[in-house]
Amino acid sequence: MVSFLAPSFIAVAIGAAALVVFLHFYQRRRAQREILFSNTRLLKSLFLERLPHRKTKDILLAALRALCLFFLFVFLARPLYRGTLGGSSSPDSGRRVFWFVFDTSYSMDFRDAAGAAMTRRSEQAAKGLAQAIRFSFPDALIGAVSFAGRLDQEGALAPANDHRAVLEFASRLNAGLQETRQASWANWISSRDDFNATAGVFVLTDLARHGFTTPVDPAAKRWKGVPVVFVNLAAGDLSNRRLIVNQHEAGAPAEVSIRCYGLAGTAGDISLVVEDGLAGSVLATGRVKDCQKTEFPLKQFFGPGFDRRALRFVLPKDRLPLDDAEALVVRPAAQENLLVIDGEPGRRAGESESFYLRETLRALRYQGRWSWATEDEARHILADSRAADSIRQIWLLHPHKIEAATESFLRDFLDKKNRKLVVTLGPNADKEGIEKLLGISLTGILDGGEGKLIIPTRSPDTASSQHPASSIQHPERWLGNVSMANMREFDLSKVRVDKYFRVRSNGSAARSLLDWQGAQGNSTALLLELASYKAKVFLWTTTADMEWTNLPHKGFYISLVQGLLEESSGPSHALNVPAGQAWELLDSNAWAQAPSAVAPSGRIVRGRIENDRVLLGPLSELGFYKISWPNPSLAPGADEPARVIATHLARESAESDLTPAAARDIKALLGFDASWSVVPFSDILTDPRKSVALLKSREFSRPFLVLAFLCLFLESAVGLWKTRK
Amino acid sequence: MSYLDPEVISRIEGLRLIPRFAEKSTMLGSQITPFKKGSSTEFVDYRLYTPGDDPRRVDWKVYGRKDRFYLRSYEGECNATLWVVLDASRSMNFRGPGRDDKWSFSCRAALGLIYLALKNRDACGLALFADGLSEVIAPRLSWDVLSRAVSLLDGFSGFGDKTDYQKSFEQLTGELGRSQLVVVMSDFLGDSVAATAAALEGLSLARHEVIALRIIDPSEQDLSLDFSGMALVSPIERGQGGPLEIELSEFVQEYRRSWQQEESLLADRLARRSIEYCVFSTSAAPGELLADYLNRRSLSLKTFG
Repeated sequence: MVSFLAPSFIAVAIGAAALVVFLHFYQRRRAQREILFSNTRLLKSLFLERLPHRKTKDILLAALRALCLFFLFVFLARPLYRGTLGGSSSPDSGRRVFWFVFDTSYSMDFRDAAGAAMTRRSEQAAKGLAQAIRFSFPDALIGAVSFAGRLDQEGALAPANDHRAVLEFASRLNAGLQETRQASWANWISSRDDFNATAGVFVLTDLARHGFTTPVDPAAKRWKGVPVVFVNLAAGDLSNRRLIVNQHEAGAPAEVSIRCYGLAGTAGDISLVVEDGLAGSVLATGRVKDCQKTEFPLKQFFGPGFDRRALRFVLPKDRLPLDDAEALVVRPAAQENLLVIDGEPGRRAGESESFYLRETLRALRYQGRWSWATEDEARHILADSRAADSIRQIWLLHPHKIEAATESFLRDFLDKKNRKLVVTLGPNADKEGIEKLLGISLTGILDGGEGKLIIPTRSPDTASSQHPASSIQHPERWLGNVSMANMREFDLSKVRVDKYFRVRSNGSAARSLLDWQGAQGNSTALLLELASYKAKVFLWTTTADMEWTNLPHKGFYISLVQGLLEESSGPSHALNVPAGQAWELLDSNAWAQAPSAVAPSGRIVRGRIENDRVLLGPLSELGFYKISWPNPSLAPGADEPARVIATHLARESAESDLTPAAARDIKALLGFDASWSVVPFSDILTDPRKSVALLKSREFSRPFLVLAFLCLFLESAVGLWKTRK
Repeated sequence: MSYLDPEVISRIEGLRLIPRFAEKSTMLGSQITPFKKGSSTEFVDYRLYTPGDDPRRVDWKVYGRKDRFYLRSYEGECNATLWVVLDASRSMNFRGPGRDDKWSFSCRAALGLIYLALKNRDACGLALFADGLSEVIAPRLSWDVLSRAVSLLDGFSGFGDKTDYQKSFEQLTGELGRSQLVVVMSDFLGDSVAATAAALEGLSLARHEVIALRIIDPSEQDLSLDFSGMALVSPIERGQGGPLEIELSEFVQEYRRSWQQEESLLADRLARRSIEYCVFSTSAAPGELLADYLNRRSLSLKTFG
């Protein structure tokens, strides 16, 4: 008996074939011109002689075209044979174990227009299928298991003749935070002792393609004879859009990019809603102009009292928080007033640090006000208390001699909260004046000399033992060693300057961006971050005229300056945490008591102090955690303490991509000769017995595709033959 | 514009259309028959006496010397009657792209032949036919024939809807005298090859010398019409069926092959009855083709006569 997985295509197949025949008989070519000719007698005899062949060829061509289309649509209809749609017999050859495999990956939290998650769909499907199995195979044993990134082996339901247990099992399932790995259940079931007794497997999944990317144990590809039915829960009205908000907490540009996939070309139909991350209220709505990139202005959400806030970007029709960066804590771009004090005014432009800094500020379109001054001019500016209060950053470029008056106003500056001082140092810098100003010793820090420039990256690696400061536990790794010979060729533009590692110098902790490993093995920090009074100070031992650095000629220079400009004056803590991990505060000296947080579900998460670190979490829920500080005045960045933490999916996860799996993906999972079929969720609702019958059927659509191509080939051959005649 | 073309006249001036056999006539013409010895004063040859010869023609002086009977042969002189028979069916009105129609070509050639015959003091007549004889100018040795022919052809418009060679030539036979030279100018497209050949053979069987000049347009030969797509091809004459809706380019090769076969078949059948067959294409000048044909014919007669 033949049935079809997509019977609607059969009607299309018949229609297409009929259309070809219709066109053949009623759309013949018409003469374009009438010609009077004297010898039609001969022409007519030739015409009559050829007429029977011509008619035969035309009919043959039309038949081949009709058959080609017919076979093609039959192929799309996916015919099955040996199916018993109303079957009531017992399973063949002693196989009587059925498995229900439930996908509980993160994407199963996708909700349809009615707000129902796909896990509820799988519950519905399981109910229908279990009843159908009970009806068709009364003696069947039904087992159930769930999987996501790995199989929940402990929670698996052993095969039993109890379909209610399966329904209870399904009702307890909720989507987790792991991505899909279909290989986990395939490996497990195929390695079970009762595999030979398995009559069929129903996999209730969204059939996302990324779930099939994990390699399968070759030994597990022995599914021949064991039918697998994938119930595609994502079929129907679910669309496949992905929202990525390219916004970084530390960078904070004023605009955000949005990308969506799956509906390219209809971007105008997609609306975008910006919600308050905590209150859930709608702040603004807009339209996605381009599915590749849409700029969305954020300035409107910030103002007095809203320097930092949590925002959620939502595509209303797809309310699944699919992507890692959808929920963000964002703050406006740095707009601190900047005073640049040129320590060596009058130098040639190409040799002057102030020249490169000025050009960089222009290139960055720095939004704060910035002023250029000599030390004398700066003294006059800072004498005005209002002006002095408005300045948040001072860049002291290459100071030759720090006068007492300069030292005085700089000390006043450093004694205020949320201030930042950047000092560039060269061979002629007034080291004594700086040591006196900052109250530290620069000996051993600024020695310089021949050696290696070492740049940390963000990627964690086990190679951290090579770090000169390897005594400090740190996840950074070496990007590469740079010497004078290859400094110019080194691709510094790829280096991001948003992570730091620590070096210890003279017993005090300082953060360094760049290290200089001297010839004698002593470690010299090229860029040091340290605290002085209430402010943050950066010492940057690089100059424009030194051949060995030459940084202004690299793209890295601009990103380095940008990092310094936007580096907060107060302690900085990442406010985005991958879901499932703990929020960690490194500078724990200031606090004796850890904060607590309220999870999106309302659960309280209490922090703890371990090994000089404050840990909060693990934060297992996706969304915003509200932080409460035991003593806000002692919290890091006390004038602006962190209020929320946003959790997100790990960047490595591809769960948000709901591209459906192709046949080759499934074959890669089950093996080439496996019997499998894919049934949409709607079919299960309408006729679950049909899906059960699939277990005893085999799809044979491929021969029809071959026939379609054969007809196409023959049609071309006959057409060519006709033309040549 | 008159069909009496000075260019044609100038090309055939000085040539002669010699019949293979001359009729006995009381009138002396310019035709010197190579087959019959006549009674002129021009001595040709001696030959032995055979019973039945006129004893009056024995050369007794030779008998005195040789003691055998010899007859003296003289070159014969005769005058021939030329009939120019012209196809006046509608198909003769066909013209290929950029060329004259076959009718005007035929008229120029026909008037050229009439002029030539009269100039050589031979009687000449003209007949037009389609589905029967339509116009006849009886043969006479008079320039009046030429002027009548010119006026007839210049103003002619009564083309027939159909060509019936059998009927036309049967009617023509009634008009002809004994052993006359008949030049038929037609495209021979009106009927099948067999019917056309049979009709011409009928003229030949009535002891007339028949010359069939086929006047065709090149596009009739190779189907080189100025259109190659799907066309509705309608016949010019009746009796060839209804219009055909065909893709012309599909038939070109086969048409040319079939044309060659029919041409060969017609030529073979006519040759068996000693009917001279020659094809004139309208792509060339009529005077040039006519002059070339007359030269070839004279040469042929001298060689094989």
